[in-house]
Amino acid sequence: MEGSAESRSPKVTDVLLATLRHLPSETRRGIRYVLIAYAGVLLLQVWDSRNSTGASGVAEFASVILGTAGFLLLGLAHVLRRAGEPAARPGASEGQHRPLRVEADPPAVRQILMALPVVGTSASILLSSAVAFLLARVWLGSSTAVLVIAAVYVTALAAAVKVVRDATSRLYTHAQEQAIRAARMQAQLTDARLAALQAQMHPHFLFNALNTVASLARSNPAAAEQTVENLSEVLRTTLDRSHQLRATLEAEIAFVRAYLEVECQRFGSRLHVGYDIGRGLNAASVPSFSLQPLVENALKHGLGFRREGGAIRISAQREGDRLVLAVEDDGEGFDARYTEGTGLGNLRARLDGMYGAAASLNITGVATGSRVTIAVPLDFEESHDARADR
Amino acid sequence: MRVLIVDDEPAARDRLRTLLDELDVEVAGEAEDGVDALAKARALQPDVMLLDISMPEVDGFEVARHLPEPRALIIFQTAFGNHALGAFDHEAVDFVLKPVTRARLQQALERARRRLDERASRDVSPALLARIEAALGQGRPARRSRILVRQGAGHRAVPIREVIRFVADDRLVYACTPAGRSMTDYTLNELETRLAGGFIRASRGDLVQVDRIDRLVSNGDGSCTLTLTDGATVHVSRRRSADVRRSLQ
Repeated sequence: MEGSAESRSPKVTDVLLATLRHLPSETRRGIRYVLIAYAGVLLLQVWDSRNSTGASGVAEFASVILGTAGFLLLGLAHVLRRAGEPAARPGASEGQHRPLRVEADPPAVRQILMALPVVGTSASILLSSAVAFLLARVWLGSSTAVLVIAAVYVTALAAAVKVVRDATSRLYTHAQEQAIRAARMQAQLTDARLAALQAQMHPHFLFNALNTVASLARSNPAAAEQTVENLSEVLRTTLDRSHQLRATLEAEIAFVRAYLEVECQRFGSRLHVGYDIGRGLNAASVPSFSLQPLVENALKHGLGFRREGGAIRISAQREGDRLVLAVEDDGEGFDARYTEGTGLGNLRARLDGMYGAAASLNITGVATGSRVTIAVPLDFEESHDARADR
Repeated sequence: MRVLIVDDEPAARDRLRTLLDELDVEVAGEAEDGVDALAKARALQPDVMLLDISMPEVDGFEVARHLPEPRALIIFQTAFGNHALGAFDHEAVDFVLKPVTRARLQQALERARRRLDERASRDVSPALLARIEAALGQGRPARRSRILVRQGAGHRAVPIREVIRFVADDRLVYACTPAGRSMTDYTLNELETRLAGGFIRASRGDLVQVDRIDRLVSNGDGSCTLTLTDGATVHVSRRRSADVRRSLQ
């Protein structure tokens, strides 16, 4: 599940480059000053190394190399820290900080956060080695320039230590957040499961279905048998998918199909169902029980209120990198006072928990009836077939 | 004893017919929805009605509420009953749970036969129906999309969204739609509770669909005048003015 998410996430290097490209101007200026200052230090050291020979020259040279590497790593650490900052949610007021353009999604952020302490620690080790060599140089033959250089290195070292400290604490917070989020998701799934259980095994649904079976048992045994099969499919799926956050589109459609078959048997010719499933989407991953609340809603509006019955159209299409599921009915359309039922409300909360701003749920009135759409990032279950599909 | 079967599911009607045949009870006819049920009740004059509660457009409660004289005895069918139904054991209605068992159906029919023989009251008051509905719906009022209005000797279902306002006129309540006005069997107070949210009581005699208010003109003395989409005007007293304004926000 997580692995598949990473396969489509932008590479860390992309995020870094994008971050560099979109650094605020004051930060760019700051970087420029630091580079100039460092060039000054380098020149100072090169000038200083002319006076030193033998062992002190080697120490000077080593400190130059180590210091440069340390500075570079420190710079990298700073950029990483910027890139790892949570991407601003659209619409959130950011005050003076311009929101970063980079859409660093969770896996990339996690990688960055994990890399930061390592980079920071390496930078501080290099810098402290540089300082050590400088001290050796002082011991071998003092010069005032060396003291200035040492002071600069020590400052950089302090900065590197701060980076490491910050990064560790952020990594800790991040891990903590992730754990809480996972726990919440699990709780939400449990709620969804309960809601689904209550919906599918809604006493009305269950007893109506049983009533249909009882009615058909004598007049149309084959249809009665079919209804029992569909009903058991619905019940089994509801019980089986107990801990599954997602399902393949194929499985979700099969579930809804069984659910609707039972209803079709009940309503006879009053209910018409059409499917329009895009090619190659069978293995796409969708939140478990995401279609059923939509269908239930359509049944209520499209059929529940009308004598002549109605039609329901279920579609799944790819739109760019998103999967759009829609259920349309030709019922009474929308009431201005329409309030979301628990089914749709729960689904909305789940989508938000799983995908954040990347998913959406929309209810629109169409010419006749209404249309409920959910869009989620297109993602495939890990399987060879799915890979080939792409 | 003649029984009218009312259920929107064809298979369920077939089964009831079979069960009634087996119990040697005469089937007067079948109806597939609320409006049909009222028409058949008038035409066939059954003694008993096996009435499904949940039906599209016009549900079982509405049918019971509008039954023509002589009233048939009502046996409600519902897919989901709870202990609350026990509270209505001694009332003029009976309940059977779906899928209906033969034994329970027989029991209900025997009870109906006794009541018919005793010439017991067949009257089902709106208040009783409201109590049953509350018990079944766990307090939540059912959302209905149609309302029954009189047409000739019978009734027809009008989509509520088409109603501009309900007007009380000399103790009768009329539904005004772009097509004209038709008499209803409800009181304005009943409608006000039932349609809360979408309709607002603009005056003692007017219940107005909020979406159908075209214009609101203040009269300066705190009262105001509404112009509705059909051109009718309604004077809103100072007391009701605030509520009306709030509903328009």
